[in-house]
This record gives sequence, C-alpha cells and structure tokens, in this order.
Amino acid sequence: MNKWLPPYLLNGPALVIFTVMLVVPMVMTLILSFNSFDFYGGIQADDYGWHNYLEVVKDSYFHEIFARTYGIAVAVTLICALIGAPEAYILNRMSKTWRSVCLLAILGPLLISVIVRTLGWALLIGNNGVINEMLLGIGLIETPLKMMFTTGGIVVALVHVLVPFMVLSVWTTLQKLDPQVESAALSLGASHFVTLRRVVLPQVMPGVLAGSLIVFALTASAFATPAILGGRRLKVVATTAYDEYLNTLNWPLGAAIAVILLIANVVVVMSYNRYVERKYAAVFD
Amino acid sequence: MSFLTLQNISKRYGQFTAVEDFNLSVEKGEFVSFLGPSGCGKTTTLQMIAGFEEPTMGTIHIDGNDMTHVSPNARDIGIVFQSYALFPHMTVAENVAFGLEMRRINKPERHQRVMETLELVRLADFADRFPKALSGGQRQRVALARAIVIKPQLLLLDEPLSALDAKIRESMQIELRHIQNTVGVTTILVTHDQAEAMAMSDRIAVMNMGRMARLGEPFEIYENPGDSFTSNFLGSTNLFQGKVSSVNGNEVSVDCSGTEVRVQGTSETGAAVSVAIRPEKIGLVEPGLGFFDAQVRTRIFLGTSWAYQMDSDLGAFNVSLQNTGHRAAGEGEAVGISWQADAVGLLAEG
Ligand SMILES: Nc1ncnc2c1ncn2[C@@H]1O[C@H](COP(=O)(O)OP(=O)(O)OP(=O)(O)O)[C@@H](O)[C@H]1O
Ligand SMILES: [Mg+2]
Repeated sequence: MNKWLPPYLLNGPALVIFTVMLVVPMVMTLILSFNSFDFYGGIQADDYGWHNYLEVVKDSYFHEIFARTYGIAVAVTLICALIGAPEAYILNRMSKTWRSVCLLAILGPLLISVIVRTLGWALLIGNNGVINEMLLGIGLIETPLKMMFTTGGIVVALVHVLVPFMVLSVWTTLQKLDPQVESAALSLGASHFVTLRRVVLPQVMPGVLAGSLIVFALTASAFATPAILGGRRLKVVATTAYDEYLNTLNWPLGAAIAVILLIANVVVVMSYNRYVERKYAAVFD
Repeated sequence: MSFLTLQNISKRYGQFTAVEDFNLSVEKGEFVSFLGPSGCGKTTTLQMIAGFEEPTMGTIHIDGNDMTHVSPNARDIGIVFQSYALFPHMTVAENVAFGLEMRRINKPERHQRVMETLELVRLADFADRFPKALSGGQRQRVALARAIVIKPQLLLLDEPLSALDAKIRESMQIELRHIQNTVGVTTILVTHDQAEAMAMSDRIAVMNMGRMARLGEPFEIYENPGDSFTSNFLGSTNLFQGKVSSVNGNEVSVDCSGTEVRVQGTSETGAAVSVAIRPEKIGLVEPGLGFFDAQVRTRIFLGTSWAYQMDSDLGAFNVSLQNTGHRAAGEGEAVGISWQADAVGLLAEG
C-alpha cells in the first residue's frame, strides 16, 4: 500500500469538515466580493470587477470605520498587556488556594455567553445604568455620563473578556522562569523594582507579545460587543459587513469588506509574528 | 574578630529543623567548604548568609556588622547559583556588567572591568554571545565572572561544579582556586563531593542533619575524623567493631571477633568501640606474617591503584593498593593484613 495513503485517510474526516465548513464559504465569499450589485436588480450574476474594493478604498466613510476598528484593537491590546502582565505576575506568586480562586475570577468572563456579558455591561454603563444612577444619587454629576455607544465603552467591555488570554499567555512564560535568576539580580544589588523591570519583564516579553497577538486578532474581528455597545451609528468593520449583508442587502460589498478585514488581520498578525520570532530567536529556545 | 561569623544559627520550617545551632567563623580571604549529604542543610545555611532566608535564631556578622536582617541586595555578596541563574536575555558581557551598573559605575570603567574579568575566566571571545549559545562549563564561568566582577566582600558558591563532567570539573576546580587566590575574596563553597572539598578548601565544615559534625583543615579532618559519620563521608573507611579488652596507658587493645587489634587512644575496658582504618593504609604481606589473614574476594584494576574486597574473620573490608607495576595478589588468594601502628583510629560506638 502507498505509505502516504494512511495519513491522508486518517485526516480525511477532518479535511472534509474543514473544506465544507471553511474553505467553501471563504471561496464563495471571495467570489461574491467581485460581483457587482444593483439596487433594483440585486446581484449581477456574470458581472465581475474590482469596484467593491475600490468603493471601500476610496470612501472616507469606510476609512473612518477601519481606523476606528484598529484604534480599538490597539487600545484593547495595550490595556490588556498593562493589566494582564502584572496580574499574571501576582498570580504566579500567590499560594495555591488563592491562585485557584483568582484564576476562576479571571477566567469567569469566558464562561458567560458573550451576549449576556455585553448586556450586563449595557446595564452597568447605560444612561439609566447602575453607574450613572449611583453617581447621580450621590450628587457627583448632574447629567448622566455618556458611556454607552462610545468607543470607550466598547474598549472596556472587550478588555474584560480578552484579558484572560493575556494573563494565561504571560503566566505560562512566567512559570518557565528560574526563580534563582531573580535572586541573582537581587544579590548583584538590584532593587525589587529594577529586578522586575530589567530581569523579569524582558523574559516574559515573548508571553506578552503572544498574548497581544491573540487579543489583537480577536478585537479586530469582534462582532457582538461592538454591535450591542456601539449601537447603529458607532460601527466597526465586522458590524459594517453585517449591515451591508442584512440591511442594505448589498452582499458583494459586505463580502469585500469582510475579505479586506481578513487580509488586513493576516498581514498584521504575520508580520508581527515574524518580528517577534526574529527578535527573540537569538535569546530563547 | 573574624570576617564572617555565624552564631547559633538555626532554621526551622514549621516543625522541621533544617539547620540547628550552627557556629562558624571565617577569616578574611579564607576558602571554606560546607560538605555533607543531600538534605543536610548546606543550601539553607548559604541562603541565610546571602539573605534569601532569615534564620529562626542566631546572628550573622559580616566584617563586624550585624547582617542578620539586612536584605540581600544590601549585603555586597557575590553568589554563583547551582543553576547558574544567568540572565538569558542579556549577552555574556551584559550579564557580567549588571552588578556594576547597579553600583552606578560609569561606562568606560564598567567596560574595562567586564573585559578584565572575562579575561580572567578565559571568556573574552564570548562577550557578545547569549547564554543559550554557551556550554555548561562556559556558563558556569560567566556566573563566576558575574559574581566576582563586583569585587564582593564574600563569595558564595552553591555546588557550582555539580553539573559538569569529571574532567571539566577537575580543571574548573583548579581554575576556581586560582581565581580565588588572585582575587583574594573570602569564599564559601557548598558541595557534597568530598574530593572537591578536599582539593579546594582551606577548611572544611562537615555537616550532618542540620548540624556541624566537624570543622578543620582537609588533611587534619581526613586523618582524625573524630566520628564514624565524618570518617565515612570523607573517603571510605573500614570499621571493625569490637570490645576493649585492656587499656595500657595510651594503647588500647580491642577484641574484634576474636582477633586482638592494638590502637592508640583512650578508652575503658569493656567499652564497645570501632577500629577505623582507611583502605589505602592497609598493606598486604605473606599469609601468617600480618595481624590476621584474609582472603581476596574481588580485585578491580583502577589504573593508578588496585581495589580489593577482602573477607576475614573480622568481616568484609576494602583495601586500596598503589599500582607499582608488579603483579598484585589475585582473587581467591590468602594474604596477611598489616598496617602502621598509627594508621588505625579508635571511634566510640554511637
Ligand atoms: N522551604 C522549605 N520548607 C520546608 N523544608 C525545607 C525548605 N527548604 C528546605 N527544606 C528542608 O531543609 C533540609 C535542608 O535543605 P537544604 O536545601 O539546605 O539541603 P542541602 O544540604 O542543600 O541538600 P542538597 O545537597 O540536596 O542540595 C531538607 O531536608 C529540606 O527538605
Ligand atoms: Mg543544596
């Protein structure tokens, strides 16, 4: 028997599912994105061209949406790194019991459905939400603070759900550290803070960068949270594609937006990964 | 006053006592080894000197100052950790420079001292490598360079050579001793390898179960170990158990399973004792001409010497004979056993 056959047979079921569920829809979306569209006639079957892409590239309306999406992604990634890395460090130093408790609290957001969690945030930050009612009640403000339907609100809610990915990623690298390396820095006269900055942080940097990659990719393509907390007007790329499909019924344009988002994400993630690998190849195994 | 003084140091972890009532004075420039079996508290003691563990009781003085509760980064101590603990994200030169940077030494001087020290450990050509790209022996020398470049008052070495193979270890021992002589820094070495302790130290502190069993110069404690633990731990020792049959001034006669053995020492008639003799101090003579006869059970050739296992009325024991180029007694042969009068020691049974 051909020695290549068994591996292919074993992979068969997975390959079939992968092809049917992922490759086919992607290719169909790609083809669709080149179709032209007419408001009265719908999708023009045999008319292909670059016009959907040109429309997205030329229209400042879409520029703003893409800029907002990547702005949110960068902000969420930075905040997750700033919160997640220290969190992981503290977690790593805790006693076993406390660590389990805190880990559960950190992973908690992942256990709740994204819709429920986001609606929870809406209850909290809405104009008649808990926070505003409270601040009004104690007289700190006179008109409700606008937090719902703002980029800030979206960023906060996304950080909430994505920070566990950062914590876990940093924590794994922390566990590989030799505690004696910290002792060595202390014995050479470094203060605790300098040890943290000069010795611990550079060593967990690969973990921070890997976590950033996950957080960035998930934020850039996030849908439910921006849809609920951003409302109709504050759009990101994913919600715009959705609206083109379901409201305007301009499927080809929606497909083109989705394809651009995908390509942009792949480019960012790949070049970032390349950079990280090159930077640390000489230092770590 | 001594440079480093440990006074009645004890360390408890809950109910468990890791180190108990440990006393030691080390002179400036001296090289002292802590020698003992695994788990006897060597690392714990070293960690207390370094400041990473706080003693439950007792005080630590360095150069006359009470350092018992001073934090590790204010003690001015160079440490080489068992795992080397190099900074993996820094080059060799950056690793060595770190301690100087912490002391705010300006760049030109820093560079000069780093290169001098790397020269000393013969790693000048490796200055720009990362630790990942070094061999075990090279990493160890980087760790050493990093510890001595700051010119610490005290150098602590925690089994620094244990990860190396025998050949490199021997050359590193010589090198380490040479560097220590050059720099003249007071040094404490932790090891469970008795040959290493013997080869390198001015004095050895033998530890057993959290206590100091014996302290002295290598030759002195090898020749007069004092108790059977130290005696056995420092090289091997044959012990013949017996009862004192008579005491005649400074000479004790011991009845070992019917054979009379004479030993220098003091004891009382009827006391249970052990007669100790090292394998290399036993000589083989014609059967009947020695103190007693024995039979060769096994014989192993080791190059520089022959290792024998003997059977006799006194029990089994070992003999080590220099290889002088002559054919030695073979397996199954009967031989007479003799030794110099001062080669045997008397150990109280306990
Ligand atoms: N944090 C701790 N909690 C409880 N017991 C400990 C702790 N650290 C060390 N011990 C115990 O103290 C004893 C001495 O430990 P130590 O590390 O000093 O041994 P050692 O002489 O260095 O041994 P080795 O040669 O194996 O390194 C051991 O029995 C160990 O189990
Ligand atoms: Mg140890």
